[in-house]
Amino acid sequence: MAASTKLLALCTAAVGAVYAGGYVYTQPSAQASGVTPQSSVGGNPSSSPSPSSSPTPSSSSGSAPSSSSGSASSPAAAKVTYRDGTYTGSGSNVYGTLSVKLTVSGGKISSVKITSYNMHYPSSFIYPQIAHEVIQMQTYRVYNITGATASSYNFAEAVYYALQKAKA
Amino acid sequence: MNRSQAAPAPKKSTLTAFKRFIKTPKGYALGALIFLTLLGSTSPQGHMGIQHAVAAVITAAVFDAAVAKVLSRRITFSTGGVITGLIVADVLSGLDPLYVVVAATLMALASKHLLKRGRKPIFNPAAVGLLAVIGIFGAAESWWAGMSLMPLWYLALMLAVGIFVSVRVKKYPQTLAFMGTYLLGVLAMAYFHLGLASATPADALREPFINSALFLGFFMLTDPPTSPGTTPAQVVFAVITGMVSVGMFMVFGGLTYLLVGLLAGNVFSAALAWTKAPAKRTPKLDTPESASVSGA
Repeated sequence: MAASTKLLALCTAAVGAVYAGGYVYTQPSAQASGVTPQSSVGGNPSSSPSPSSSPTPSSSSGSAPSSSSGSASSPAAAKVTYRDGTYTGSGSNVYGTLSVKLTVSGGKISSVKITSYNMHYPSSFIYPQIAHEVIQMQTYRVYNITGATASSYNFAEAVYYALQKAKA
Repeated sequence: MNRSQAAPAPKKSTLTAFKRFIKTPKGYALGALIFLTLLGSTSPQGHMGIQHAVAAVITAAVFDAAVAKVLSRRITFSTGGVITGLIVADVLSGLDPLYVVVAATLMALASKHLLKRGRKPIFNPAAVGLLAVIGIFGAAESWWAGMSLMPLWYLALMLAVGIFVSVRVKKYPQTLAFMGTYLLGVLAMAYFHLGLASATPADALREPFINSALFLGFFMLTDPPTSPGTTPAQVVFAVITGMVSVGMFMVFGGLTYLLVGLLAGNVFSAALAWTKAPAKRTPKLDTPESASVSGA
């Protein structure tokens, strides 16, 4: 009894050691891909943006605007007017794809809903808080969600394309 | 042990029956899942998860009662069905529509009643239901009862609950073998630079993926009817599950690799049982080992 308990405790320690070793060994790649809890909250519209921290749609999507745009300091300053209606948009990267349905009422974004989600990370990492930010800030240029940077990028890209359709 | 041979016993109080139940494998698993479901529901999106959990539990109880009625069996409150429903709700994202949770629960329980050997289901019912709705509806997973949406110390709490339950149901060596194999496989992926750009070993070792592996290892892998009874066979079953899970993660990425790995382990478990002895349709014995966690 005591021997089996000791053996289980030893095995538990061994599994824990393997996990710790793997965690430390993969730390550099985790930091590179932005999955660590320490990854920064990017895209802060009140901070000086950098191409890597802005939630602007990736340049690989073709017609998306450059992420280094200096307008990040005042996202609502563009004074873009939108036509009322419901519009859809999609975003994709190596982590998957997602689509949104965006509703404009009275010229303003009134709701954003995810209509399809096939991302590597759970949708609950970004939704609904990121949708609330879009409505509150009236822009696709929202804060990244820490630990779900790629999903945040895709969401921003999807909202961007929906807003492109809504432009008057 | 046979109830028909027992002398007429005084009517047990509900409290006594409850005390007996919570000391069975089902009781431990159900208590742990209810605790983790309530704990996970304190996350910002948790209220949606709770709604799903309630819907899944009601669906499971009604469905199993209907099956019992059709098969002319005594209708009882299906705790095994409730456990399956809770696992389904705990894994699916709170953003999934309610009908997806209900459909997953129904398909899980249907697999339990249809795909079986003797009285025991071949595949883990919750894993079947989850894979079915992911394939049919493109349902999203979040494994929120694995504390994937919570601060890190909640994970330690889940770990403590999981170890307690798996020790009590005598499946801790199996859980250790699974986690050991899985973590070694992920470490090998990192060392040899294997895998996809979108599914890296660094991902697998961090939230939310490590939460899902632990949740599966503690609460799904330990399902008595779909896992072997002896420790050596349990270890082989766990190693197969871990290896297939890592292989699926390495080749396909995504989020279903653990569920597919579990089903592969279930196939081994069923094959082992088939080679040992033919299934007998014997009356169910009232022993702790015969009490299914997500079967019954």
